[in-house]
Amino acid sequence: MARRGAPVDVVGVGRTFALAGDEVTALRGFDLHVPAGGFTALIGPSGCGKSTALRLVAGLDTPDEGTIDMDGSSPDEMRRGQRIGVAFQDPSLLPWRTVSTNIRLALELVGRRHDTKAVDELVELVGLQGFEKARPSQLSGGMRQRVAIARSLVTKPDLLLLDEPFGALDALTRQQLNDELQRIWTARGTTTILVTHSIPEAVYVADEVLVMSPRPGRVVARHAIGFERPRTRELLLTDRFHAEVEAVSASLHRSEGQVVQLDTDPS
Amino acid sequence: MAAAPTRPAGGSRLDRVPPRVLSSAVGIAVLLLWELLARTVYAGSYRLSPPTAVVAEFFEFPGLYLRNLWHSTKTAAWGFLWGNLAAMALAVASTLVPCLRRSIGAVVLTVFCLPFIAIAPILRLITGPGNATPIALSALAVVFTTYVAALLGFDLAPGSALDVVRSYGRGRLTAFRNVRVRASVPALFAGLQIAAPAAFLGAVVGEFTGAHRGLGILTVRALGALQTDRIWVIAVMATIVATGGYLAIGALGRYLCPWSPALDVGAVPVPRTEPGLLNRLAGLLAPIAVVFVFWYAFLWVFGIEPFFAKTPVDVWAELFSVSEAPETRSIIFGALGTTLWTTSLGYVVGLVGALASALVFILVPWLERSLMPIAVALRSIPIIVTTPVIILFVGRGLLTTTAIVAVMSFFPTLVNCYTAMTRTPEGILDVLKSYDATSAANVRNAYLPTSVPALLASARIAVPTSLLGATVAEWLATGDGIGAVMVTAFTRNDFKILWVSVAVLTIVAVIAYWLVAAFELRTLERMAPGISR
Amino acid sequence: MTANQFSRRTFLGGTAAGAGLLLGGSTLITACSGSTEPPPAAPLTPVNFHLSWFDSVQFGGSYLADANGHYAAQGLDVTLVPGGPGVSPDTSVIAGQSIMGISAANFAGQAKADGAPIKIVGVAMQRNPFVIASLTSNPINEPRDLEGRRLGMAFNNQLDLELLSSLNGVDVNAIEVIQADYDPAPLVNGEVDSLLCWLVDLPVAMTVAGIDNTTMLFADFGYAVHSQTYIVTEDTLANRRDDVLALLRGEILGWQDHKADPDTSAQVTVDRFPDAGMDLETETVKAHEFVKLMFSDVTDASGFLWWTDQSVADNIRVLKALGVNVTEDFWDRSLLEEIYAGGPVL
Repeated sequence: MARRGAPVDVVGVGRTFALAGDEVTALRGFDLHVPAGGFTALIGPSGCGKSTALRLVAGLDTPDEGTIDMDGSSPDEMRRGQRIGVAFQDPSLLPWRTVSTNIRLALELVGRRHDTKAVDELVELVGLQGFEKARPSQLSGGMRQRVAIARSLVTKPDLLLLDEPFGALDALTRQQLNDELQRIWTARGTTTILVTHSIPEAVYVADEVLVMSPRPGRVVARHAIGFERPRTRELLLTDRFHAEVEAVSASLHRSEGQVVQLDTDPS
Repeated sequence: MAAAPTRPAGGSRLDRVPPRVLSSAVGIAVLLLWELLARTVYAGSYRLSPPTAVVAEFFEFPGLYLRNLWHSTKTAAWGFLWGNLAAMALAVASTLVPCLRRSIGAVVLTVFCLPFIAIAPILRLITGPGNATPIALSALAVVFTTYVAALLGFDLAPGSALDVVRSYGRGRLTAFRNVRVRASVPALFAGLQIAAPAAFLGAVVGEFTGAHRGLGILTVRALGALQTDRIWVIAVMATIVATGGYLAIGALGRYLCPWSPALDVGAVPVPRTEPGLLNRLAGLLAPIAVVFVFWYAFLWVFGIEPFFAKTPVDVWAELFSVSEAPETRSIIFGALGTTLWTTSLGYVVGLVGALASALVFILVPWLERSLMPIAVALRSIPIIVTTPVIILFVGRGLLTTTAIVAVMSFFPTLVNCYTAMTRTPEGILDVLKSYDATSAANVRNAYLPTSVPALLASARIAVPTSLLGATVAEWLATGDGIGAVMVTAFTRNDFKILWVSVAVLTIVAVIAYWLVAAFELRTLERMAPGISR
Repeated sequence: MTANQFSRRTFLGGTAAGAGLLLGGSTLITACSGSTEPPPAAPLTPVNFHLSWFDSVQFGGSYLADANGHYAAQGLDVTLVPGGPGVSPDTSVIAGQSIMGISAANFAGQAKADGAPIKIVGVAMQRNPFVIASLTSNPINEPRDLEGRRLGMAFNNQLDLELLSSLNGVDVNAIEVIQADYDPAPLVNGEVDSLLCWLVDLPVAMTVAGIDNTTMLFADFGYAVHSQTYIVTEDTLANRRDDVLALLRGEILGWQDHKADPDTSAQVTVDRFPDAGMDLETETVKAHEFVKLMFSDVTDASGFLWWTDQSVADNIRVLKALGVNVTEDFWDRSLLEEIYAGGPVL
């Protein structure tokens, strides 16, 4: 399989915010290494700085300390080179645009407005054929997320950053989209970082699961996930899957130093 | 989650300066420039008084200024109280008895569209001498915006909470008491903020119908006596008081409902109409019928003598059937043409300028932080106080009307559009930023579309206020257009022309309001409902 | 008071009270305002007298009549109701809210022509106070000087300008008219060459500000429109004649005081309205100017407020040219004749 995309190297990154007169340190000593074409999931307790880390990698924010390098480029250079695709928990679609023009937005922004083929391809890839002319308000939550994913992929980015893109969806839809995400990643081979709350989701889709500590966030445990691909739903029922989930959960538990609410959604 | 910056991170070092420091610096710079201009370019011109002279003038006659200010403020406060109570009562009735809503709305809108300067003498006729006319005008000036705000507030009550009340077997009244009243507070206070300067305007126009004291009278006297310093003292005082009222009401609103974000009534979309031609027709005709009933009832209740009182039939005859009708038509519609031309020019300049300024503010944050407080202050200045200052600068040509209308529509629209732009969903901005979108792309894809509902809502509210501003300007400054026709009519005791002008201008204002509202609805529907949240 | 008059007044009183309830009770003030002096033997009759503009020394005689007790001596408790740019005193009189009002022959004449039952019972300004004011450095001395010059004026005065022009063979289209109202600044700033205004208004303001100015009185060029005229309704004349007589007597006594001592009149005016921010020097100049406009050979011979049959004929002719058609019976001199039966001074 042709692997493409940029390797990501994050070393010793820290970020502090001023919030209502207080200083809040979201990240301190945060390290992350994703090989080119790798799929890494970030997991951790609420407010541990997962999203902050992702925004730093995306070049949407700048760290106070530490370095982020991607194939010799800084996040800002990657962003300016339009080599990044992002999708968030909120699909952030433009309500006045249709499915295909929402996907096309990314192309317009990188100066490839007329690449209708790419749009059609992505519509098909995320399974939205027949809905090209629909507006976001006419779509279900899952369909909107597919549009957001399609938009993040349409420019063929070297780095795909996903911040809980399926967080607000029901378990069934979520599993479906995870399957598709895996399929798309397999087809495209883009370096991908996924932030999620769900341990089973992380274990199911990623090559590596990184567990973060509570704020100030840093990586406290790494779990390489060796399941062969393509992974199917049968995997969810296997003992080795459960064992892996338990292991990650235990790391998370240790990192928090308290009882962890296990998210066992994908049944 | 993360405390992400709410505005696009600007590159300017000025963005790091604390807002208070920046605002003060800009304020001081403006004052210095003002002083400099007044002492050089405008020296001896009877136009611009230097700030030092304004302060000196105030401290030479502090009692005079404070007494007049107190008088006008007191009048405005009474009008504010009665007008808002009436508006809230009407909003309660509209909410509890939904079938009344359309008719009440039509009457309230019509009252809002009535040209003040023409109904002032008619009110004076009913109330006789004293302070009742200024108070009544002041009350009329606030009814519409507060009614819309209160209605919106009641409607904003969460449906689930209403269902909870219903699930306990309780009726509309309980739901109203327990849920809607509380839910309405933020929107209501946004409406009251707008009402404060409007009440002031009503009070001052009322003073022009005869009073011993008040800022309006002092202004007219000062204009005639070449007392430029005095005009500026009054303008500055009124600005301070109006801004103070605006901020105080806002603070009270936040204190009463800390859980709710600030709301702006100017950014509220129009309610949807029921589909179907018959519904629409009924929706149109019923309110018109109600307005006519009110017209007759008004004449009958106050027993106005036929010499003054003209019924809709009289107005129709005057326009279409009596022998002088063609002459009347040419006077009224000729003047109306002038008014509409100057007004729409000012209206468009005001709206476009406001939108452009809002975009500049959103793209250049340090500019916003230094100038926005000034814009908020200027938006609350009653037009009657700005008018003499504009006259001093622009003179008294057609341009004056345009300038006054532009100023009247500019500031509210600027504040509303800017506020809407700051509420552009962060995710959309992040998506754009992740592709290193240009400022132009940000404007096109995010800021402009997000501000469209606010722009349209502002444009709708600005229709009657622009016509009001235009007629006041025509009266006090230019002597053109329908405003002049109305004033000439009542000084010459020509009540036929007066009523015809009032009727025609009101109908035009209501139709213009409807047109903008219809355009707003269509646009919002096309832009999808998601945006109007 | 007839039943009709009574019922109307009662009704208006009722609505005023209703409006008062609605509007914070403020209208009730008017009903009980007035003298705080100890009540005389006979109760005073309360009446409203509607002035034509904001409080000003233009009504100095009326304030003196009040201050010097002339109204009270006539058995009246007079409320002097101020006018303004947004109100017409004729309206107040026609509606029965004021027993008498101050108007001008052209405005009142329009109402009369439209069927309002009113009459002029006194003429305070023998000579119309309209002037063309200009800077002495660039003077307008006669109507012909207006041609080719810029004139600032209120839109309401277009007909007056046209009339002045036609009376003096001036081409009105050759005058460049610019709107300017209540404001001498355009003349001072050179935006216009002249202003159409009242003699006692903007020119005085300019004089006080040290700006040399020249005035050309309309009355000197054939514009014979009675100004500051006292109007009442026919109904009032028929049913409350004594009250009108009493009010006119009080007025005449007050204005005789004003003529005798304009300085005191100015002082009384300024003191009476501390919230108006009037300037004593300006009001004193105006007080003297008003004497010139209000007193003449005619009033010396026949008394204040008097007018001649010739001036009525002139007014009718000029008003007709202004588009206002009235006849001699618009003027009723019988009250003045009764008042001045014993001579031109009370």
